[in-house]
Amino acid sequence: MEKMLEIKKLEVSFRPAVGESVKILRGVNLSVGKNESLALAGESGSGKTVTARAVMKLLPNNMNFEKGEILIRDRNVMNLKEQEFRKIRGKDVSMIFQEPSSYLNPVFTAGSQVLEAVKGDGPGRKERTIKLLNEVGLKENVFYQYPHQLSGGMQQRVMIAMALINNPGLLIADEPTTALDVTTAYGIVELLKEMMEKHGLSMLFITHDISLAVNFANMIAVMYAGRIVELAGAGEILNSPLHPYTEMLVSCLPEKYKSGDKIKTIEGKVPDFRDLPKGCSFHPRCPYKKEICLREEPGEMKRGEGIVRCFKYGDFVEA
Amino acid sequence: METLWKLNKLSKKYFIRGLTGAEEITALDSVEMEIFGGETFGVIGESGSGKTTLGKTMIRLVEPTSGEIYFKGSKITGMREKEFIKLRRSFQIVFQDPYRALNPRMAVGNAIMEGIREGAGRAQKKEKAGHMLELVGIAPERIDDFPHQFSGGERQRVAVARALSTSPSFMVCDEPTSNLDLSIQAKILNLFIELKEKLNLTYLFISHNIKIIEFIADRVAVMYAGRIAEYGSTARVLGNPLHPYTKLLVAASFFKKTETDKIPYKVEKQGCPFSRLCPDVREICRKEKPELMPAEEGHFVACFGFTNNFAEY
Ligand SMILES: Nc1ncnc2c1ncn2[C@@H]1O[C@H](COP(=O)(O)OP(=O)(O)OP(=O)(O)O)[C@@H](O)[C@H]1O
Ligand SMILES: Nc1ncnc2c1ncn2[C@@H]1O[C@H](COP(=O)(O)OP(=O)(O)OP(=O)(O)O)[C@@H](O)[C@H]1O
Ligand code: SF4
Ligand SMILES: [Mg+2]
Ligand SMILES: [Mg+2]
Repeated sequence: MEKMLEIKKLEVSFRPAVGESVKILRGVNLSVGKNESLALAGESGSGKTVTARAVMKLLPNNMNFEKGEILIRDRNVMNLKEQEFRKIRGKDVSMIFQEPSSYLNPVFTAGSQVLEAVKGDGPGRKERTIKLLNEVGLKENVFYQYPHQLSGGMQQRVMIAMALINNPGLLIADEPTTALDVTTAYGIVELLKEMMEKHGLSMLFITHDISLAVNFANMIAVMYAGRIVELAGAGEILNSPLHPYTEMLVSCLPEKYKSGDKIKTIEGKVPDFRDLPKGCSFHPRCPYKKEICLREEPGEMKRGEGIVRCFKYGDFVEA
Repeated sequence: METLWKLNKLSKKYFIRGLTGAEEITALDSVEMEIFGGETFGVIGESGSGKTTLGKTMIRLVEPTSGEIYFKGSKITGMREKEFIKLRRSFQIVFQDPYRALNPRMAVGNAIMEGIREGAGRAQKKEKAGHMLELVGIAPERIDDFPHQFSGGERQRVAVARALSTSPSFMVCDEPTSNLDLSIQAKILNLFIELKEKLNLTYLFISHNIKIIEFIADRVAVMYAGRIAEYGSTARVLGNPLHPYTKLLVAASFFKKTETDKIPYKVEKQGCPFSRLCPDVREICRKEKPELMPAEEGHFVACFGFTNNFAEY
């Protein structure tokens, strides 16, 4: 099948103010087929946003590409000049950012910012903008409002409209519904599904909400400490997770316990990239760890359609 | 229980430029409620329904257009700044938007230390700040990092750590865990609960996640279009929702399709704001605004469906 996005062995690091550079992404492999949606889930701080920003070529200044490839529609974009990539950004691939206020300009109205994002001129730009604002559940008057005059969820939806205005082929949505109530979020998800059907949109959907991911992603990738530790169909992740981290994550789902129960947490220290444990980076928190887990890093093992990185499933060591 | 806050017909209007000229936005519309000392008071409701405005107005970050706010019996609306400042120190807010809440040029450790009350020395403060970071699941070694070096969810947790380290007596938590995965979310919620018991804190806890509200809130208010549609004990309101909007909200889930698949942004100006979408709508609903009325002990609802003679309308 045609691939919309392919990430191969991506490594990204950052330069701290003092000391050596620190790897954040440690060999990320991902792919999104045409008209498919892949959900990227995982612990807060595991590297989801960095992955997304790498694809958009919008890494923070203190971060570097180390190795790997990023292909958009089979075209390697790693070495494209900013000038070249700008033609792709917003049109072939666009992004909904996690914290809308960091990307919305406070001194321009919401409407003018969406308009600004429209590629090419031509008539009906304003009408199209207003129609799209309506479709994400915003009233027309939002067009003339400044970001600070909008609620958190409204800002998020302006951001969504901005990302969708050019009917992109690939949309990277970084936690696009975190500020929305269920009914509004549901409407957004329906809109995105419709765009997938009508315009052949493909999506990399970053979310911490597994139930949301299950609802409309074909496949779910689970990230832990800068690596994909499991990739599987949405149903498998929910009902028969393979990786111990996924298993714990899924057991925290509110659907899995009755009210009155204490909410579960995953105990143990959250990994710090500057000082990752040797061997499997999950081992300090893993109930299944064996001797090999403390020494070696598990490689990618194929499992049906997906992959898992864990010695529970064989002693395949990362090269 | 002691009444800590009392809101009396609290309203906030904004004037903005619309498509066809000036327009008025009613962010809060005659909000009336009481919050007890030591409780967690949850607020849920649609995006844009006025939740943030409510929280900010209570601690005077936003001036109300009309109505009064009483804190421990004294009126704080119209109170002179000089007098209010004493209270302000014990009020905290975790903003919905951690990105804007943190000073980009200040290391997170310093931001947290700033809030720690006088008395402790610098070394002690730093140690406490590191401990706070650890409590929210961030490696204390990151104490000298700046906000932009953190992920979205990490920044949110730094904001929580900072607010909690000031030992507040009242705290507005505006979607404080919206960017967190379930296990870390649970960790933060447990921390909120633990500190509440230790410091006898009172929370106004805003969230769009019903599961979280169910878990953390003693009582809950459901907002719709700047008004309180329903409020009462969490078990009652979510277990036996009375207002048609609450029913919709409680039934909605990603596993179940809701009745309205359209995004309900169309708010009626006249009559009940929910009348356009309400499956139980009657003629009176389009003409008059329903007031909050007691439906059962400690459970209030603003819907004509609960007046005795609704059948006649
Ligand atoms: N500019 C930066 N400099 C140094 N470290 C950074 C920078 N940006 C992010 N990091 C670190 O890189 C790691 C990955 O961050 P990323 O934003 O990708 O996390 P995430 O998976 O998106 O988390 P969240 O769910 O909380 O948004 C985190 O540990 C974060 O602290
Ligand atoms: N400074 C302002 N100027 C003009 N309008 C404003 C201002 N602040 C808020 N509003 C409007 O008031 C209404 C309520 O906003 P508020 O932020 O309280 O909503 P919310 O319930 O917190 O929503 P969300 O869940 O999306 O955060 C919105 O229509 C918003 O556009
Ligand atoms: S490799 Fe070992 S430590 Fe890592 S998740 Fe699997 S069993 Fe646990
Ligand atoms: Mg992120
Ligand atoms: Mg808000």
